[in-house]
Amino acid sequence: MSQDTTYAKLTEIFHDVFDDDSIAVTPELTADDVDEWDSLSHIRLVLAVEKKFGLKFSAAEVGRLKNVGEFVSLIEAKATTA
Amino acid sequence: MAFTSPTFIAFILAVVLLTSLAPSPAGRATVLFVANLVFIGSYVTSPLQVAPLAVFLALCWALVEAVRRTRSGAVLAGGLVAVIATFVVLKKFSFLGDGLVLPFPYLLVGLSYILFRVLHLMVDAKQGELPGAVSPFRFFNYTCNFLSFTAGPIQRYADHAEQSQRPLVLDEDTVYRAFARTIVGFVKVGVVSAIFNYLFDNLSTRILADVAPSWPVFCAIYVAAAVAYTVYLYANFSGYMDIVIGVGRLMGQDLPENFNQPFLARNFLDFWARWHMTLSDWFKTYVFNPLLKVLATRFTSAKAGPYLGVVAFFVTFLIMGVWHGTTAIFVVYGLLMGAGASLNKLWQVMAVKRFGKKAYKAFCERTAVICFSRGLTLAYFAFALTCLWTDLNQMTSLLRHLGATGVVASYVGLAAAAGLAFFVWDTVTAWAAPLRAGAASVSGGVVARNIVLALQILLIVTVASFFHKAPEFVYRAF
Repeated sequence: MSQDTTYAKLTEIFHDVFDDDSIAVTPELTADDVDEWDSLSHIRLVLAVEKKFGLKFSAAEVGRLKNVGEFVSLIEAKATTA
Repeated sequence: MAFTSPTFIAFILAVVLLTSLAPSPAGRATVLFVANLVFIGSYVTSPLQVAPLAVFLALCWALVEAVRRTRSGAVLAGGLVAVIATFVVLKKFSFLGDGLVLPFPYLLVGLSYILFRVLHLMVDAKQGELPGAVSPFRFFNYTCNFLSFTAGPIQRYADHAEQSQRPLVLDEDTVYRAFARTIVGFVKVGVVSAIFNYLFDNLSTRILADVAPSWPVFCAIYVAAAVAYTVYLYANFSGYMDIVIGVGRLMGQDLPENFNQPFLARNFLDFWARWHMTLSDWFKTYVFNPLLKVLATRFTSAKAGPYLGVVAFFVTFLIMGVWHGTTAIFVVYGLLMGAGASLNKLWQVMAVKRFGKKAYKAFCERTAVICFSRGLTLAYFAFALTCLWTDLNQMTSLLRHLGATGVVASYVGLAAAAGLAFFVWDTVTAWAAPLRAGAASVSGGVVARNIVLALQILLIVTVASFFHKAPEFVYRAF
């Protein structure tokens, strides 16, 4: 899967989870940049990504994600080994 | 070994010097191993006292290794039950009664934080997150690292393993910063926490006495005692963290930060992202997130989100509360924390729904709202901490004397007073910012920072002469 496809799919998920089509999903995007990205919506986001990409994340992986770039790297690493 | 005692200071100096003499990864690991043994040994007087801890560690290591080798969910579940059950028995939780208590006194200090490290290792071992096998030697150094043995910070195993392999690099600036950080820690523990502990002792004695003062005086003394305890707890705990983080740097260990100006938090959820951060992160990673994930998988409606969060907050804080102590008052503490987090989240959801995202955000950025929100947060936390200095009977008696009016009046009064104090503080620090910048630029800051260091040491020596002994590290009790 190309990185562009991953970002396109993630953008769709972000817009759906946060109900905001104006969010630009970039590697640098963090929870501080999106008002409603709190601990509750973080889990909804993770579940939506798991469903869309057919992956499963460990507790430590979910806990240490710092920005979208790390999320994309994790998705791609998981997709390669899945 | 008391953290403010000359023995502890001599001990850490010896450990730092030995680490510098043997800076290779193997040398440092050996020094740390011996230091950990000496540190634990300073608490015991007979081999029997340390036997339960040794058995607990051996059991935990075997279970971590079993989970790592099998990657089996059943082995993990059995391991978690065995470790938690052993912990509950060793910690003598009051609901067990006297039936399972070992018939001799033994070492309990450090056990609570070993539990966190072991549970983290087991879950990560199952999920393939460990960088490799954990040898008994490294397991001991990780779980019983004397720097974080009694109260954290709870460092991740992967970080500990990676740092222990790194070369030790100490330049002049790093050493200065490490010493300065340690001195700040001693000021917090030996000066600020000692003063507020003295105040708290005097105030709490008056309101916990058999003969209570008149109602308004009682309310005022209660508020003052709650604030004194909160400042004492913060200064003592964060000071201890400054000391171990500073010493850790001299030993090649970058221990994680545990506090980030918690009293500047604008709400209760923000507060827990700034207070005892490694504990909050641990609970978030291994309790809150997995629980919320299970709940959200079963209840998929977006509207259910906040309510699922409320359930997850209550469960998480209840476990955290019970972990703090073995009696019923800690259940009350956990429920109060869960209520604080839940009310905070529900208010945010309701406010956004009613006023809209933009209007709510603009409202939260007003100076008066920021200061009052800080006051509300500090007051709630200070009042909830009452559970840490009373038992259930004392708490009941306290509430009876305050009455509903007293509780509300004390809370609102403290929140308003704290809000005003934050406003004054913000104004003064903004006004003083150019002065600080000017002082920092003198001789590139070298003169100013050394004067500050010297004054801090003078302050410690001066204040220490007023007290017969500095307060013991508060979290040892938990």
